[in-house]
Amino acid sequence: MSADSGTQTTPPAESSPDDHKKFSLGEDWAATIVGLVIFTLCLVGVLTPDLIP
Amino acid sequence: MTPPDNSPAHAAEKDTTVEVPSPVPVAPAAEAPLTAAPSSTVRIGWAVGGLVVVVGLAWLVQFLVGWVPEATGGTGFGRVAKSIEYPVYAIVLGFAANALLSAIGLRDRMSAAFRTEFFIKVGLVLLGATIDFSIFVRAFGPAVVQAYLLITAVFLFTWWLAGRLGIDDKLRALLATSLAVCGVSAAVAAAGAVQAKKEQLAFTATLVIVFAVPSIFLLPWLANVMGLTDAVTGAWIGGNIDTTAAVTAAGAVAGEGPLQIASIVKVTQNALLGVVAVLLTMFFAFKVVADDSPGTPKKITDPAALKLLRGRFPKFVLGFLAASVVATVLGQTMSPEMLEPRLDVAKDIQVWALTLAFVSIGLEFKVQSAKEAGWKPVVVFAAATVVNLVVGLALAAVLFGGFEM
Repeated sequence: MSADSGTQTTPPAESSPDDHKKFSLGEDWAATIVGLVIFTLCLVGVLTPDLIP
Repeated sequence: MTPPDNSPAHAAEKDTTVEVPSPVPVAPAAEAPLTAAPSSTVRIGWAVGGLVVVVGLAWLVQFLVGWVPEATGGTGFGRVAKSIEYPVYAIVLGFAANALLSAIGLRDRMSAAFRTEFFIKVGLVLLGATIDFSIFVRAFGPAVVQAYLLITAVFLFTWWLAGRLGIDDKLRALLATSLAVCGVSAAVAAAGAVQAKKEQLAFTATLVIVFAVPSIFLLPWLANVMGLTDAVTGAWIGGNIDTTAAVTAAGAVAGEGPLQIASIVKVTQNALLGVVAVLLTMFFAFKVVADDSPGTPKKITDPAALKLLRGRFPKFVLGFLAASVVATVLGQTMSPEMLEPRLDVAKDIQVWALTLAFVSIGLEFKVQSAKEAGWKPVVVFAAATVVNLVVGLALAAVLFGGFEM
């Protein structure tokens, strides 16, 4: 993101907020999967109270 | 943090943290200048360091929650100390660490680990396991009605007021969407829909955080003063506070009942983000900037519109619902002696995930962006927040007044 410096004659290509679309979609799915994996591990007894600080 | 937009930052779901980058990489005096782009190993090293900071602060929060009431028992502060919930310690410690790391020039290097939205979403998926699905089913109807009415009222008011103050149309869209729907993630979705500049997104994201953080403590306190029921408190919080993280924090401060309803209301509102994004795209394509390019939706049933709807839908809501359904079904089939300990572990990890998120809220805040916001967007935000509070309270009281937890 560039500021309105006023000193550039050829401003760089303006990047848009959607540039990292793929990564943000990946993080959303990652959080969902991580949450469900943790929940599953709790239900099957892999994660126990002793393991939680 | 992910580059723009949290909404998710970059796009839709941002609910990923919006990477709200500084306009120009002007290093503050304390920041050590980098002469060359760091290698990926160095970047990973700093990210790991940042993660150590976040986890360490979260551990300190857990410690303080138990130790402070004990240490101050019998004193005047002791009664107050017992009521201080973990989100308070987490955000305060996050801000303090932010100030320290910024002063020694390490904050930006470690920022890749400050993933508020990721931690929040993991926590919300686990929170789903604590909600009986029947509560969700009963709350969903009122939540949809509240969301629809509140989004419409707040969006139109903000759009109008920002227009009266001469604010640029694209920034108007960002302000209106972030206030009406779900904070930073909505701002990112709107930014993508209207092709806003990153600077505008950074301003909006900063305003959202600046207004959301005090709300974490203010709304639960006001709800207590007004004697609101758990359901109305939760609905008011969920419909009012802009970011999902702050809603969760405020809900946690208010209590378990309000937290459940606040989460349901908030995820319902978040789910409507896709509809708002499509309508904004179409409005800007036809009314503001004539855009007939392929991929621009002409009507709500266009493949482009459906793609946008699908893309903007916050995926963590699916995990939230799935966890709730599984926990509810197991509650009917497993014995409590076997199920309860397992759900308790999930709840402990949920608290950890949310603590990490609240610590990251404090760590992520950028003072520079706040200074650059200017006064007009601040006036718009403040006025629209008041409207949101009043209308939100009225709707919550009407729709959730008789709701039995």
